[in-house]
Parts: sequence; structure tokens; C-alpha cells
Amino acid sequence: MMVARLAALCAAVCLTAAEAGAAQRQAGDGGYLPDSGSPFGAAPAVADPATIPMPDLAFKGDGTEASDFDKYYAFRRADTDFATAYADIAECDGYARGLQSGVGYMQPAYPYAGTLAGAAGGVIGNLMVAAIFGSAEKRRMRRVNMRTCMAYKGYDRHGLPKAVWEKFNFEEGLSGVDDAKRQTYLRQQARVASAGTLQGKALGL
Amino acid sequence: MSRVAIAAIAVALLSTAAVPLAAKEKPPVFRETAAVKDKPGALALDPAKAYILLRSTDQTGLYLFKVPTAEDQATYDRLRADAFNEARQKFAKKLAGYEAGLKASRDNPRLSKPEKPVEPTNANFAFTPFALLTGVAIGPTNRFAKAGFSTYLQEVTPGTYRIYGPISVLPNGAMSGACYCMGSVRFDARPGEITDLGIVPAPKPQVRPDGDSSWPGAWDGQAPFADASTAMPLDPRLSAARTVRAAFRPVGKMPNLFGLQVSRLPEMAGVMRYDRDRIVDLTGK
Repeated sequence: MMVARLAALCAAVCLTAAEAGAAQRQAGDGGYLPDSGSPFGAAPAVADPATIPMPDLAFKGDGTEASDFDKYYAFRRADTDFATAYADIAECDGYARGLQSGVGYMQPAYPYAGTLAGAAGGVIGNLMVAAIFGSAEKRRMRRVNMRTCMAYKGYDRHGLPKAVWEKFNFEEGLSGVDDAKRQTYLRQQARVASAGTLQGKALGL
Repeated sequence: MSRVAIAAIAVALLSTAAVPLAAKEKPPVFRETAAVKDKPGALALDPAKAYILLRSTDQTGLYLFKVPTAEDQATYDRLRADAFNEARQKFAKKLAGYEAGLKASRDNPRLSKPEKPVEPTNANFAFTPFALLTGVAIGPTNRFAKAGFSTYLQEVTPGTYRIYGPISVLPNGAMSGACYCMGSVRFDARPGEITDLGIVPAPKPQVRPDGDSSWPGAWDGQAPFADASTAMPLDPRLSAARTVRAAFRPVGKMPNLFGLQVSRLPEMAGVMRYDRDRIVDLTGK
């Protein structure tokens, strides 16, 4: 029942792989916009994707793990190489990091300058609101944005038990995840997204 | 820079937003904007200003950014360069202090070793994005008319504006909604005339599936900016003004500047569509 509702709602908000694959040039079609790509720049180069370890994705379910599939999952898209998957996941991570709980931001009246190493894609401000809404809401919003972005890109979502998910994923609440650790996880997620064997059916959006 | 330091800067920004932090000169004004108030009688347009009109069945919010002109961009680039140079000069002083402190700590082990300052580079130097200096928040309050449906009329500096998303900014500065970070449109707002965006669809009620705590919802999927002339006639006070339908053009992706939910504008016939997440220009221009 829930899967059916998910599928119905997804039909309204995201392109399916079939639609995307069938995309044809139309009358007046001027091609892709030059800035259709990631606004966060290219993902860091990976010389040999084969060196990125593939997480162990196998599990024996007891029937209860599905209740947490809203939180614990992996993305997968057929016919996608590692570099593409890494670029896609890194872009979605850019939209999903440094979130401000979805509410509250005050625009600075004047230009601000400083050195904010590693703050790309995020924003400053609204931290007081984050403290009010708390870490859980920020973690939830990260999941919302990752699911939205990856669905737009045509990836399916497959549920995982938490113990499997934790091997190559991270949550991000009030405290951030340093960039080296973040990229390690994102690369593993890209390995899974491009070549992983995920059991269980696709959950859609 | 640590998260704590970033938090401290953010709090400082929130509490001292009226004080320029980097620029010593009067900061440039890239755009001016104000909601046109609901007053009786025909409206007299300022010929030097542009006006943006939108209508909705409910109270709604829409957030725009002014797209920089070449002149805006040059001004912004100069501001950034000045701020960068100032940061470099401050760094040189901090570095000298650090080296002196380091030497002192070597000479006297009871002194703590100072923290080395971060050198500003073009790669790590953060400057307020242009978009954050040119936001235009329309609605959900300050309606121009509210008989039967909501009409919003916003006076702005003439120029090109990007629709950033169905975002509501409340009087206390709190924001809610979603950004069209992954695809949207822009339009020109010319001086002395009203640019009619049409109907902004009211957000659909969100029904989160049972057990799905992170359901993204259905922010898009509704036809945006449909012609309002029949369903929501123009307010008689605007009948003497020159009103033109907005000519939409697609625009690409943008960062999630407010840390909100990410979305994109639904496809618009003759304007734009998506190939997965890539934006296809259908305007033929």
C-alpha cells in the first residue's frame, strides 16, 4: 500500500528513467542549458575507481528492517559509471549539506567576507534556529534533499538495514562531517550507485 | 575554520547586520523593492521602477533574485577584490602575531602555542553571493488585493529576475518553502510597466506516507504561472497601467542558499523541460 502511494506521488514529482531515456529533441529545443550541471563544481578526481572498496551489501532480513527504509537506503542506477555516479552524489550532497532546518534565515544587509574553508554549498546564518529545531530535523532534511535530488537524476532507492547502511553513509546534524571523511563515504556510495548489487525492490522517490 | 567559529560569525552577522563588515564605503544598492500597498484609487506607477504582478488562490510566497547586469557584476567583483585584499592584509598582521607568539611559546614553555591563522586564498575566501544581496520576497503578507483571490504587486529595480522558489519570508525573517535550485526560469521586468507572472499555484497539502519520516513531498507537479486573465481578472486599479505577460526563459542550477528543501520548477510548455536533471531550453532562442 505504502509503496503504491509512493509510486503515485513520485509520478507527480520526478522523471522516471523511462521518461528520461526517451527524451527527444522537440520543436524549439535549444539543447541543455550550459549551467545544467552542478553549481558546486566538479567532484574530486578519482584516479582508479576500482580502488574504492565496495561495501558488503548483503543482509538477511527479519522483516522488521523495512520500517527504517525511510532513513537507511542506497541509490542505484543502471548503465551508470562510477565517475557519473560520484558527480551526481556529490552534487546532491551539495544541496543537502549545511542545512538550516528549513526555517529561518536572516539575510545580511551588507557583503560579508571571510575564510570559510569547506563551506561550499552551505550557508552561514540561521544557526540559532538550528539549535531550536535540533539535530534530528537537520538529519531529516538532509535525507529529504538527497532523495529529491537523486530521484530527479533517475536513481532508484533501495532499503538497507541500519547496520549495513552505516558502513558507507553518514548522518549530518548540528555538527558537520569533515571533508575527507565525507568524500570517502560519497565515493563508496558512488560505487554502490554504479555497480552495487542491492537486494530488495526499488522504493522510488 | 571550526563550526564554532562559523557559528560565532553567523551570530555576529545576525546581531550586527546593519554594520558593514568589510566595505568601508557605502555599500552599493543592487536592487530596491517594496510591496505596493492596498489603497483605494488608480495606481500611479513610477516610470523609473518595474512592477511584478502575481495572483494566487491563497496567500503565497515567491522569492526572486535579481540577475546581475554587467555593471552589477563589475561592482560586485570589485567589492570582492577589495574585501579579499583587506583580508590578506589582516592575515599578514595575524601571521606576524602568530610567529611572535610561537617564538614566545618556544622561549617560555608555560605559554600556550598560538593557533596558526588561515591564509585567505581565492579558493577559500567566502564572500556573500550576489544573489543574497538582491533577494525580492513577495508575499505571503502585504497583498495588493484579496477579494476572492490574492493579488501581489511588487515594485522593484528594473532588470532580469530569477524565480528562486515558493519561499515565504515572515516579518521576523523566518523562511519556509523550497528552492527551485535544480531548475527555474527568469524574466525581464521593465521600467514603467507591470510584468504579469500569472497564477502562482498554492502549495498542495502535504500527505506524508505512514512511516516515511523523510518523504520529500510534492513541491512541484503543478502547472506554474498560468495565464490569470480569465480566472483571476486584473484589479481595476491597474487597468490604466501597461501590463505585459512575463516572457520566461529557463535558468540553470543554484546552490541551496537558505538551506531549505530542494526542488525545481515544474516543466513549462514552450519554455523548458528536463532530461533527468538537465534543463532543456525550449524557447528556441
